[in-house]
Amino acid sequence: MTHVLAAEVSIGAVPPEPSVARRRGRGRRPTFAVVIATVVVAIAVITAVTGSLLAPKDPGKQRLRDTLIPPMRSGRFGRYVLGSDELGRDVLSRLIAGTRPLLLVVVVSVAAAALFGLVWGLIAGTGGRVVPTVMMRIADMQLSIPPVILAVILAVVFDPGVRTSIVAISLVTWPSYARVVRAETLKVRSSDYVALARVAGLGKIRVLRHHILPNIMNSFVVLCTLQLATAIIFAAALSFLGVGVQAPRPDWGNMLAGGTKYLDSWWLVVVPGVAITILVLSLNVIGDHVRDRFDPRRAAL
Amino acid sequence: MNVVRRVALILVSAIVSLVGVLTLVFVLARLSGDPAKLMAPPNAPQSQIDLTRAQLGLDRPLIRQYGSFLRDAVHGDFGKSYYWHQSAASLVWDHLPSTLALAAVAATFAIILGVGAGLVASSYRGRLPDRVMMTGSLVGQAVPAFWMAPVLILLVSVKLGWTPTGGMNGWRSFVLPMIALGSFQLAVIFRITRASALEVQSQDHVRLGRAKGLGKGRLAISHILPSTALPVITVAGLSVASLIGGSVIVERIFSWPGLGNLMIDAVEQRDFPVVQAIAVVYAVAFITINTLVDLLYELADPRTRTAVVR
Repeated sequence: MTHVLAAEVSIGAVPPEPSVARRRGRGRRPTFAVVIATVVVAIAVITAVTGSLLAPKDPGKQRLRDTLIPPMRSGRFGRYVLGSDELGRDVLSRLIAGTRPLLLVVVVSVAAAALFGLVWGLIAGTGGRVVPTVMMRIADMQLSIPPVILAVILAVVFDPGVRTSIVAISLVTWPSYARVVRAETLKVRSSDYVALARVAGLGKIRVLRHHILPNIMNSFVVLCTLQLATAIIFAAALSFLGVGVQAPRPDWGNMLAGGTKYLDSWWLVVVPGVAITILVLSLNVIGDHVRDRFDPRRAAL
Repeated sequence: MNVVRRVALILVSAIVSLVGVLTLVFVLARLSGDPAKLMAPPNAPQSQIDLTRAQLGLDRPLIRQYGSFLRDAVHGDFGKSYYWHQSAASLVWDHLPSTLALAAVAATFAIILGVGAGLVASSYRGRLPDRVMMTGSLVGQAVPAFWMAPVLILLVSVKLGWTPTGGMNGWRSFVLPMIALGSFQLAVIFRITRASALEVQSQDHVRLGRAKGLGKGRLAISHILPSTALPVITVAGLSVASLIGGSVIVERIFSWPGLGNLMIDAVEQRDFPVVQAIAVVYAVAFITINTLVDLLYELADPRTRTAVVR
């Protein structure tokens, strides 16, 4: 029991001492960067919902006379704002069309992993002696396979695609949620008001719902926000390795992978890469803000 | 609980994790389809497939198969590669050194630069150098390796011609993969070093050192660094562990003759013995590093013991 806690201390998710002073006056109100980041994420979400409706050209259409046209130049079939690829497909349109599978994978996998981790962590945090130890051991075991490796194995077992990406990312990330939820639950459980509620005769479920859950929600939501960025890099990495979204269907990761074969046409690599970086950066900025706002104890990392 | 018992517990749980990983690999291997069918030619008659199954021992009860899988795995035997027609273990041994070399170089790069930059930034807290480095680390954490690597190749190898575009050939070939693999961890280590150095700065022994008139560098190395060591060791250890996983992508892009690259090739050929051998090697490395970090923590800081009992 105590050992598992030691492992939690060493995982580095919880910095030893909060430095509240450092953050004083910062991060309370949304800064300019947070506003920009929110706008970026909003654009990404809208693009994902509308899909290729916004695209200036058909993302799948090959125009073999217009291959590898640099950004802002015109080919025989009109202007290519972000250039065209080796098959004459419009990079901007593919970027837009690729938003949906990416965000789909990210949102579904984070939701699934978070929910599973929440339930797992709550049970492991409120149960007796043996069950929690076993449960957290299982979570640890999961963490002892490097994520990319596990995802790649899964892709061999099942067929590569959106569904495999989702399964892989959720399977790989749920233990982080379980650990944080359990650590928080243990902390809240030892507080006086929970003891009081017990003394007052409240049942286990009631204590859980009305006293423990509301108090761990902040850390949980913060973690979810921060995990979104990780999930994006992960999803793109899987597509890049060819085990995620499959080739004819555009996705930021597989666009990048295709681009590495034509390095002289720099925009094929730079455009999806910049898109991923901007989105991840925005989510990190929002995540940091949410954390400072709702969970200042974790602000050090 | 005394130290010996807790250390023993850490070791036992490492072994439990290892068995768990092996079990998972076994289950996934069985889910991945019938190896006999994969090995046989496309229109092989059923009798031939059955023969192969018997040769591979796949007709035995599952629990017996599991037993012999564990026994073989402990001996480092994961069967024969379907594609390369040699033992999976020997393939792994051939590719392991280049992966380890790259990981070691990248880890050294990330730890030395990260800790150094963290200490510098903390002593300039809030001023220009600090802010530049903080922004840099934020960007560093947002740039995925699979994007940084092609851009580096484009700029440094193709345009400037300073380094080879791929392969492992002389020290120059290490530079770009090292940067691509290490820079994310560099950003993480930088942030944790900076954060804990800031905390330590207001402690008495550091203030005394400052009052004695010690210079910034001296203060950082002999007063601040030792007190920040624990969180930094933890995060650095975990970074090295995740660096091992991240190397798959970087190796792929730089055609590095390592395990990660081999693994993706094996996946494309659906060569499961090789995939599972590599997965186990990665898991062993991962578990070893995590266990070392746990042990280090246990032995180095008496406070974690009391904090845990709370």
